[in-house]
Amino acid sequence: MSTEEFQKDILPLQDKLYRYALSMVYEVDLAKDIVQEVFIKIWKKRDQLSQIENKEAWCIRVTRNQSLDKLKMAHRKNVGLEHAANQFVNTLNPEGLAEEKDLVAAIYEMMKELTEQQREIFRLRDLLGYSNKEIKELMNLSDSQVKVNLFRARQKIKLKLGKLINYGG
Amino acid sequence: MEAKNQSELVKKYWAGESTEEEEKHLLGSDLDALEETNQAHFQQLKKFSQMSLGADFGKEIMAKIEHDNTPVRRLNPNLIWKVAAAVLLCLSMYFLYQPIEQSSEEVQLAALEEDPEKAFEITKQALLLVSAKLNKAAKVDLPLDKFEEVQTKIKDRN
Repeated sequence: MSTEEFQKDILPLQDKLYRYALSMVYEVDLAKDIVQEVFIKIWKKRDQLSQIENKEAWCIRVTRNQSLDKLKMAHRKNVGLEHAANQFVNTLNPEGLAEEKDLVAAIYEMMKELTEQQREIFRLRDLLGYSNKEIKELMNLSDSQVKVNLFRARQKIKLKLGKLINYGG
Repeated sequence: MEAKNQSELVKKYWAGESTEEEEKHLLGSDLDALEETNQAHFQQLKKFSQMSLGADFGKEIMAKIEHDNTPVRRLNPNLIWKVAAAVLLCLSMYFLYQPIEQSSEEVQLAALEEDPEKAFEITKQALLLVSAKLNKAAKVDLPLDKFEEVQTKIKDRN
């Protein structure tokens, strides 16, 4: 794979991979680092890319593994929000980035009570916009498993939102 | 009409029955028209879907990649076979030429062949000793056939 091909086929995935990593580690800077490392890894394995049928799915898997490695290394295990407050220090637009931080915190709250499978399906469908068919292939699940888990994930989130609105005012 | 459509899409969404196209349409609609719970949820989804690393990130990545444009190291399959064959050959040679520990009997036989006269004298004395202790001689297992062979050789030489 040439640099031109990389720029054309892989680089456009940067935001998707970023959101994916962000929804796993809940830290902006860490998610950026992950995407950067993922791209470097992919580039180093560029000779294998031609044999990979679904490059996007492969990039998602690499990002997932990289995020999990980071989580394991830092022993964060999806509790990275404590560190999120330390983000956005060197910023030219603190207001906008504070909003980003709140959003990441909200996503974390939304997902924290889901099972791992529900979280992954919700992440792929509602946060990244993949279809059920694509999720089925990415996760090696059946149609009904994807549907049921998506339904349950959304129901849990709906219930939680209802409670937050009622009790939180 | 739009509001009706929107509320139907919201219902379908929570029931897990909406398509991704319908969800895109929903996120693109006027979310302020939704009731509080739904508004918060869909606005969060919409904002999250807009989170971006920016164009500079891509430029930085490309710069790094172009800087690290070292050729990918590939293992030549022929080379792997050659190395494997060489290792196998070395191992075979090692085991083939390992000195096998000789038994004391074989050492004695070798000594017989190296210096037959001396060996003959030693054996002769041994046999005299053996004959002196006949009751024990049956237990001694000496290579008599070899002894005879060496004896014949010495006679022939003389």
